[in-house]
Amino acid sequence: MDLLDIQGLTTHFFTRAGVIKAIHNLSLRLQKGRVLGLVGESGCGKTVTALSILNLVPYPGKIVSGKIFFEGQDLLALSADEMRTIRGAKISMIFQEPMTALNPVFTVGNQIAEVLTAHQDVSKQQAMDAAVELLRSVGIPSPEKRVKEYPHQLSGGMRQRVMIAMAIACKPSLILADEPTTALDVTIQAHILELLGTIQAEMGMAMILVTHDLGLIAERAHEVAVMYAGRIVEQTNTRELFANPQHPYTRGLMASIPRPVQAGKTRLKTIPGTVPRLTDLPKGCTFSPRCEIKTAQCVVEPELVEVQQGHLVRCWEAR
Amino acid sequence: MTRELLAINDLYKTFPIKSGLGKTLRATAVDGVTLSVARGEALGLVGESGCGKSTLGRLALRLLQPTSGSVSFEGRDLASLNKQALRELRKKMQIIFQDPFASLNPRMRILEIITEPLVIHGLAKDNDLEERGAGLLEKVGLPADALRCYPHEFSGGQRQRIGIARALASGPSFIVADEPVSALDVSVQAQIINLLEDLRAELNLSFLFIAHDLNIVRHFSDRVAVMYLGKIVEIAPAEEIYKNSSHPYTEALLADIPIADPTVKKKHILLKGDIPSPTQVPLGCRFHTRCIYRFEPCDKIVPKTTDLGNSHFVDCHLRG
Repeated sequence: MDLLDIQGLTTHFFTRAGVIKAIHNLSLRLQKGRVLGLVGESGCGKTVTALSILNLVPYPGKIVSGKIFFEGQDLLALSADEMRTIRGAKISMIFQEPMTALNPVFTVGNQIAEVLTAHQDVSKQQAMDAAVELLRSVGIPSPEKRVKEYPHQLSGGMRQRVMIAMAIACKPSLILADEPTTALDVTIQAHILELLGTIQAEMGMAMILVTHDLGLIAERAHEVAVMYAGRIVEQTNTRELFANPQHPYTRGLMASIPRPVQAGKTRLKTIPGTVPRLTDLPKGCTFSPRCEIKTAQCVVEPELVEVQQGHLVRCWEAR
Repeated sequence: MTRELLAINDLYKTFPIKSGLGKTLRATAVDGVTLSVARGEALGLVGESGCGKSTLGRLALRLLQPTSGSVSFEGRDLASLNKQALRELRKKMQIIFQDPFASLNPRMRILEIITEPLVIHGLAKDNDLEERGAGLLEKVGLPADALRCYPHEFSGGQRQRIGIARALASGPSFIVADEPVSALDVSVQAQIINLLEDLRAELNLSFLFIAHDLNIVRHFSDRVAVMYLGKIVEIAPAEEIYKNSSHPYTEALLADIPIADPTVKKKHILLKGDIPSPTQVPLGCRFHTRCIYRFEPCDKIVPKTTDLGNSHFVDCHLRG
């Protein structure tokens, strides 16, 4: 059985300016202990996918249709109380901006302990002791002291470590990491990713790593789903994706990053145009206005189909 | 005339920080920087947040007054110029900002935004503005009918093009590009980088190109300077710095960029701890608190700049 099985998820935001179709008919599967990279540009629906899994889509957003099976149970059919026993305990989330995700008026120990007391039958003191151990396990020096500090007393990298400590407090089986290092400097990013990777492997957790950075995906993910305008346009294992990208959007993304291995100065390849507005999506294939290989067929939106074993692509030309 | 367009000599900038207890700390943002940018050259400046790279960019244009040291442009010391002379010189030095959402006035039309430098410097008559504006937009790849629009009608990449058009308006020879693509989506970044490259070649522009993404800096620049806590710790031609990085900090920066190729198994260099506060710069080598090669003199003696040949300079006891 898959740990996570999303079937036909569609999430819309009903705004005054019109319906924002953030996610359209998204299906994903994830097995225990695997890392899935969810890659795409801003507004492609990566974060909304993560929030939908936790049933935390903010107003005026709504999950319009679809099913999200987690350990065989449809999360969308659960009551609010039942969902609360899963959130933070079995599925937890690490946010992009640790400063806004942590509460500035409580100590970090307090915030980590809250996760434990909310989900487990432990006393406050036990939870505090556990918080110290958790801080130690995420590599925070002198955790006995740090546990009594407030978020503003910690650096960005430290705060993200605290976020990770909170996320793993109840040993969840799935972690949703939403751009966990985007707000951090490269040298700090390396630490945080190393830490997440170690913890993930040791505890055997599955992880969805949401990012716009193909480099992160290449280093950290087993499988990748590339998103564009609320849809998965390509999905396969990481090696296959980088060796044999099929969707023109994936190819364009890969060609547009300057590579360190390239000798001399070559001109960067670009994808013409910009990401479409989600209120006003193009007809047919949503990528077609920017696509170099579009044909007459592209006025009809292609389905995501398996073109090779385990390699799914949403493009007429890839078949 | 000298080949040197911009020369920065032993530049310092400190900012007062009120600690809240009546005490004032001093944060050293730029700590003794000497640099030069040649005519037509693109000098890349990399470093992590808070290292002082943006402050240095603003000092270079005298948008900030240095605490000490000098900046000269075309051989003239900016500090010695009166207001009028400085304004005259500003035509030739412009800036492109990081955030294309914050750097364009939302109440001004694109025409007003990009021709404002022309009006300020008296470079065009009122009835020429439209034509000049359209010409500038064409240079950056936008249609002339955009002149009538407001900034909110454009995407991030288009706004950055508008910011570039504004920077070009007064006919500059030197541009400080302060993280010009870091707020943009990956697929749009390449468009802007290519545009800057074209303009650079066409107009023979010199650049101080500030970024934290080493791959982009390398792609764009002739030389690269690496900044750490207010000081340039290494500077060399772009290819050289990537092939023979000599400062442990540069080495770590390079090793820590994730590579978009799963077949490459890369060893990251995990630096210890966090970047120290600029109010308490470590004694000796400022990098010693995080350095993996730290030895005897590092926490006592400030390393001197060593010439490694090939226009490659480094501040490190290991090489000195």
